[in-house]
Amino acid sequence: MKTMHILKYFINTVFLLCFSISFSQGIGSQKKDTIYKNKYGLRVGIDLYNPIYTLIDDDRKGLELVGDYRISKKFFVAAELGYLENTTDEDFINFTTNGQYIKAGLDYNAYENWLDMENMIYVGFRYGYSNFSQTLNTFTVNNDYFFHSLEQIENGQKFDNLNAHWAEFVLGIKAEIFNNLYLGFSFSGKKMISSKQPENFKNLFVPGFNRVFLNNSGFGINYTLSYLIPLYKKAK
Amino acid sequence: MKQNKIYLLIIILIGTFLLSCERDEICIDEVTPHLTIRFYDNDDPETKKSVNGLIVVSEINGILDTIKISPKDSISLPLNVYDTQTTYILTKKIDEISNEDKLIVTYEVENVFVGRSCGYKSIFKNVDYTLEDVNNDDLWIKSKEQITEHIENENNAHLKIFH
Repeated sequence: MKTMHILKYFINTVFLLCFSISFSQGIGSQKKDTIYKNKYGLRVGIDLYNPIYTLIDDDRKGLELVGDYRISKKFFVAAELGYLENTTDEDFINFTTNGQYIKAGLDYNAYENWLDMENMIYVGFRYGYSNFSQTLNTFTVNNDYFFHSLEQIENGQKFDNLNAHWAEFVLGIKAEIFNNLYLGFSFSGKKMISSKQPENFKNLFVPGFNRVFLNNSGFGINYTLSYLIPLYKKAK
Repeated sequence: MKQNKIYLLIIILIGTFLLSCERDEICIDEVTPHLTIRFYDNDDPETKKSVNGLIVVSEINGILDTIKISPKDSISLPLNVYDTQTTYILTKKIDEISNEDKLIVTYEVENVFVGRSCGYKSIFKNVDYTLEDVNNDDLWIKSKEQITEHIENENNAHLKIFH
């Protein structure tokens, strides 16, 4: 599991660097002779991270739809809508989290495009909300080994109607790989604002937030494939 | 200049990544407490007195197994969290002859969530102690004094035994 995580970050970093090289080619030779118009429209897509994750690890199943709408040259209103079922296996507990989430916010494109290119290196923020249930599949009472009692208790207790509110900071890139088709990668750092906790258990995983760390923070990565439905063009 | 800005952003992006690889949480919280017994002198109830050649055994699935051999004046023993009672046989050596006394502890078990890495622990409510003689050779334990009704932590001793 640990090596898989390390590998995951390594691949991510390489992917990121590939992007940065292809971006840097466009820098430094700007001419203002021609006015290039920007495409405005609604961009919709899906997250590729969860479907790929499901292939290698059956413990996670989910779908996320992403969308953004350009409101100015630099700003985009963005939202994500998703569903996630995730089983977490720890030393003494095993539980399944099941629920849906919505995130809404704003992206700011910090990248100055060359010619009529429409790539993005952006920063953004999101407000996230999720409602979900937790099912405690098994647990082991953490006790003295003397009674040979490190046996798992089948529990199956379900905690319904839980929810969570959080804030997210997003860093990402989007590249137009074909006309109107975008491939994106983003990283998000999250901080829990409030959460309705189950009794005698804790929300250790929240859909859309992922693993809740001890200091109530979390992070996530997304690979997205999205399509821009162009509505109009504007010089600014 | 612009190029630098972008590289800076990418460095921040990667940096944030690496920082977010937080260390695994390790279980450092207190888990299921042991029963802590402290031994006192029967003639001088304020003075701690260790038990000569103390051996504690308990029964697991019908087989007796040694928990601890301790020369100290206090001992901590595991309670069976999958049952509502645990029986110990405490043996003291008096003039090279072993004297066995039985201590029966009854309780209610409650499982309490601790955290991700520790899972659940058990705490013991309404604890009660009974002494029984083994082999008709009189009790070496003269009396007992219950300190706490519930066993929730290991901060203090739970039972005093006078001998």
